[in-house]
Amino acid sequence: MKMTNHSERGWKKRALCTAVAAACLVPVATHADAFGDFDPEAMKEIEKFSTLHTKPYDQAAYDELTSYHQSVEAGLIVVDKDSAKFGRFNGLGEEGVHPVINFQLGTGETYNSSQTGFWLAKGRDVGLDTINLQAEFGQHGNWEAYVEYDQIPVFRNDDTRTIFRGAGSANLTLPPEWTPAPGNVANDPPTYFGDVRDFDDINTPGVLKDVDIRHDRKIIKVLVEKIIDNEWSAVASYRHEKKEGVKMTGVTMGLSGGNPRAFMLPEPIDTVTQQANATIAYSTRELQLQLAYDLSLFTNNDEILMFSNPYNGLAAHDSDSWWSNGGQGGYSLPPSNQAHKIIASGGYYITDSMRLSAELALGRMTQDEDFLGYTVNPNLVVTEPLPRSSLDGQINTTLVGLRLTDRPMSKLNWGLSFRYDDRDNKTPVDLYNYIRNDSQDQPTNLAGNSYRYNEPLSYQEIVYAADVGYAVTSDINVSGGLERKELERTFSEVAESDENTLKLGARWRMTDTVQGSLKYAHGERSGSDYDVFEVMHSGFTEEYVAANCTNMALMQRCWEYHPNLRKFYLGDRDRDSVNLSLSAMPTERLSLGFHATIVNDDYSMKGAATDPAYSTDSGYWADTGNANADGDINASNQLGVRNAENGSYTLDVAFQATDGLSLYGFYTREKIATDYYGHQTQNAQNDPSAETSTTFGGDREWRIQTDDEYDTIGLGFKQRLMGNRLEVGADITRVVSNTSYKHTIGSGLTGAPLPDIEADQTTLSLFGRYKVNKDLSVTARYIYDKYDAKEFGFDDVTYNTMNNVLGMGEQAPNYKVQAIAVSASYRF
Amino acid sequence: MIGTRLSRLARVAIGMALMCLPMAPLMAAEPASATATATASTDNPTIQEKVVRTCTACHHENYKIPVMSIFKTKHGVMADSRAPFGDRACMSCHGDSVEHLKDITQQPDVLFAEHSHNTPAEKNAPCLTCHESGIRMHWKGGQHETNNLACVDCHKIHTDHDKVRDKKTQPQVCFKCHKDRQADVLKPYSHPIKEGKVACSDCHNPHGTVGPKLLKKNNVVETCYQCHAEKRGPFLWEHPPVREDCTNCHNPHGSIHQALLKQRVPFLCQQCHLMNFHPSGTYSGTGIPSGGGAAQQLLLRGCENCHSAVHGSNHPGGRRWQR
Repeated sequence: MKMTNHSERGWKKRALCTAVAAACLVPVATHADAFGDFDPEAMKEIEKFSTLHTKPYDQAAYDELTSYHQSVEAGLIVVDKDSAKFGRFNGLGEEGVHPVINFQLGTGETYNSSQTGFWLAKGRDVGLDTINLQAEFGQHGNWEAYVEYDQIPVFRNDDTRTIFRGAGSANLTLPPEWTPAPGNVANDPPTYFGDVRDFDDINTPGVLKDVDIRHDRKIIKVLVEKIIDNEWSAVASYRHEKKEGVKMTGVTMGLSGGNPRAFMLPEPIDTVTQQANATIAYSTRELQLQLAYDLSLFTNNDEILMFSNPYNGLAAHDSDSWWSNGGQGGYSLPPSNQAHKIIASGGYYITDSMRLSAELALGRMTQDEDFLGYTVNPNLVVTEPLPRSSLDGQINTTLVGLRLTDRPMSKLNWGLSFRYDDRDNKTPVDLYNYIRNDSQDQPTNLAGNSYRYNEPLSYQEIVYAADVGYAVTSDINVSGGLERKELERTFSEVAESDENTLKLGARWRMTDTVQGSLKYAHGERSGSDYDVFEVMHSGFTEEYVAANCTNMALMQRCWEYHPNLRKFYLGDRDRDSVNLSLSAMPTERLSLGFHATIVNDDYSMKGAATDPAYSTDSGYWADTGNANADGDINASNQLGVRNAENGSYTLDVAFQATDGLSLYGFYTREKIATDYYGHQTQNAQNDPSAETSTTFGGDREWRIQTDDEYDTIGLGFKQRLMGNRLEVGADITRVVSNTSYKHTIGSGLTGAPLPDIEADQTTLSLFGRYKVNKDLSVTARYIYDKYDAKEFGFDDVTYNTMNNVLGMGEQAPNYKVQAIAVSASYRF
Repeated sequence: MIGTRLSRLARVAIGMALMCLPMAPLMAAEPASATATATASTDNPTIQEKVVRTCTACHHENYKIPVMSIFKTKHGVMADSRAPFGDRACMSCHGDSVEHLKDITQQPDVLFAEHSHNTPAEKNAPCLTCHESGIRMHWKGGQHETNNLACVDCHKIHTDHDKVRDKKTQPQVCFKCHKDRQADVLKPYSHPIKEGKVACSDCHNPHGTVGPKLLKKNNVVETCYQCHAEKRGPFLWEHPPVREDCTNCHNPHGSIHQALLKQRVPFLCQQCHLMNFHPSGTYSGTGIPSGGGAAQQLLLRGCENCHSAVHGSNHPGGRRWQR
């Protein structure tokens, strides 16, 4: 295995944490619970009053509250238009008449019976793609079983079409009409490649075929619980999920990174996920213990998606090694995999108020599907075999959680907690000489970039936390906490980092009707040296590094990621967050609320005066004398995210105008802003001197400030009329979403402003329910849903709009759908 | 359309019926612990029955706050010695309440109403007597407990339909406090929460966990793998931020961007992938709309037009997540 700075992992922490958790879970001798005795004085009163209510005062009212009712609802819903977006999850994506069938059946014994049997069966959306059926039965206090069948449809697109045949299968071919010779190559020299926009064949009748981009999840759950005695119980559950359908996937042929020939194709989904759990639990008032085994098996019935190359047949395409050589490609589908976990958890009251809880979970995630070949293209020359026939991938997971908490007096509570989450990736590292996109003979130069080591990432997170809360008065509570998080990663620019967070909070009741809370947290994350070269040294061969990192003229090849980049999830960060909540009830019938959440993330570097300089001796970008100890770069040249903000503000009101009329409303405004910097280096090869200086700013730097803004409003009412026989109501929501970009570029770049992304959805729902008698009611519902979206990535981008990507006609959703439902419910 | 659906429905119904077959004979069987505690009759009422009669003398079927639906719940089964009504009936949770019995103007020992004299910890104590195991093992010290929530702030006990335990109605309960999430699920792209197909509790355990954000599983990735097991791998070519934390790129509660992405591609990808050549290019509005001159990294799926295996690839040729 190739060892680099961050590829080795320690085992001591893992062993120590596991031992501590195991020790905490050792059962402590305890006494079985004894049910409490009645207070003698209470007994006297009970004996005195127990003859008062021996039978119902009002039999009808009593039955209404205590009897088991069966109910069945049946009707129809009419949808006036097809819309994948409207029906994305609700099963109403197609125009037409759909059934409305819901039911609830079941019964149990009367509360004072000596029998405990019960059963319950529920059905929702029966006859729709969103059908849900549930059954529950058993004997209270003895055993229970639960069975559920659920379907979740996911519609993706309307009017999507493809040039491929066999959509839904794992073998896609092209129709005989497909001869993609460019009709007009004025913009591209014929010897280079044709322009997709010139693919006239796409307009030939019959070339494009409709394909539904949707999939369905069909889920069966079974759970059985056995109460062994007052202390012991056992649960076993099984979940089987079949996922079938088609998704849209982008695939490319050719080698040119920035100028490929790509196409959207229908990727089949045919998978099964099985999950099983077996748990045995022991529980008394002082001590609870639980031992569980979790199993998850993911099976993909398709291993590879084979497809014909739509660019095959172009003379320039086949003759130029930058493009593909042959007519077939293969895309690997997610490999089958497994996960196993044993979980031991427990809680114990050390004193009446002090509790220790612990969890130890040892898991293993494995994946060992046979590898596909480097290529499925028979025209290519493959000289080296794969280093192994399958990955033998394995990640061992360890979780240790400990928490000690106490409420020694009603005014004071405190807690200490520790959490250790380790994902130790044991997947073997090998050297692969990969073939790109089924489009080249296998390279043979060990100093080239086709030879790559895989980098199995391991990750470890340790969190220490202490919290305290104190009731200053009966109306004011304050709280505080400290948290320290330590992270370790392998094959990463930042091997170790830590984050310290201070939390402060207060809750107060200003009057009997007004209360609020305020929370503030400040966290600072920093880490070990940002090692720009770790990824390069761990992923490439030594020959490649030697060839590219000791020569100033080739400097631009010595880093995979720009040296001034600080990735947002790795780099230093200061985070401030504020939560404010106010609620008031000026009258018994009116409640008002205001909630705000503000988070500010500052990623900008601190303390460094200059950038690191390149050392021709070591072949590394090294700290200069002016850089700080962490090798920080000059903050003004930092690339990547420098700042991110998120603010969400909600006003809500609820008003019970009369006993029969209730109204509500809310308005939420949210803004998510991100500010990040980049530097265009694609011309570096032609101008290495510009890229090798220590200053990376200048005329090819760019900056994007994005603002996602959401305005959401909801209003509604419910009213009961005619002595509660008629209930009517309405709900309306409107969500206006907008993403805007402010794009700033250096003088060496050209560009134009980016359009906004917009979505505006209004949904109106009206309903009325009339109770014909106490058991029969009729319900009518009306839904109006209007959705307008603008997305420059999809608007007017059809099958051959782009000059080198064949699309499937995906458009931003725009629809206006109305639906009317009428149903009758009968209760018996 | 309806015919096909009904045929499929029939198959499902038959399957469900077969699975439920054990229901019939077992309904009649005698439970192991049922006879020990309660058999009631008018002439010789049990102590539990006496408590019920005493309390329902005032809290009867026409009382302004209906309480008697608890008899249709697990709590109300007298023949189950583990249930409150198999123990001390109403007093199991509300305490002996001697003062209240003597003088109804006095509050019972434990009152669960919003304006009760009891603290949240006092309200929770009766519940935790039985419910501190399993998924509630880490309630003490969890975010909801330390924020002084009471079980009854979310759960309704005197009804056979506890909204928070029904996937379709559960979000309404959570949104009472988590107002920003209410708006999130209405965004253009979200999980099917408002459709009642995914509930908050599919990802979160509100009763307390040792993990972050009250997540049901140990961490973010394991929580997501529950439904997205195809992303689990391990893969030959891993994508580091994906292996570490799905929320590096996705906002699971809702987004204006497809696939719940935090940013639109290529802008999301470029926050990390500032590399030579096209990854570091500045992608502007040039060529938009529909001129065909816009960069292929900008339109349709952006970077994913070619690099679609971003969650990891097991193809030996998939180093660039293109296979």
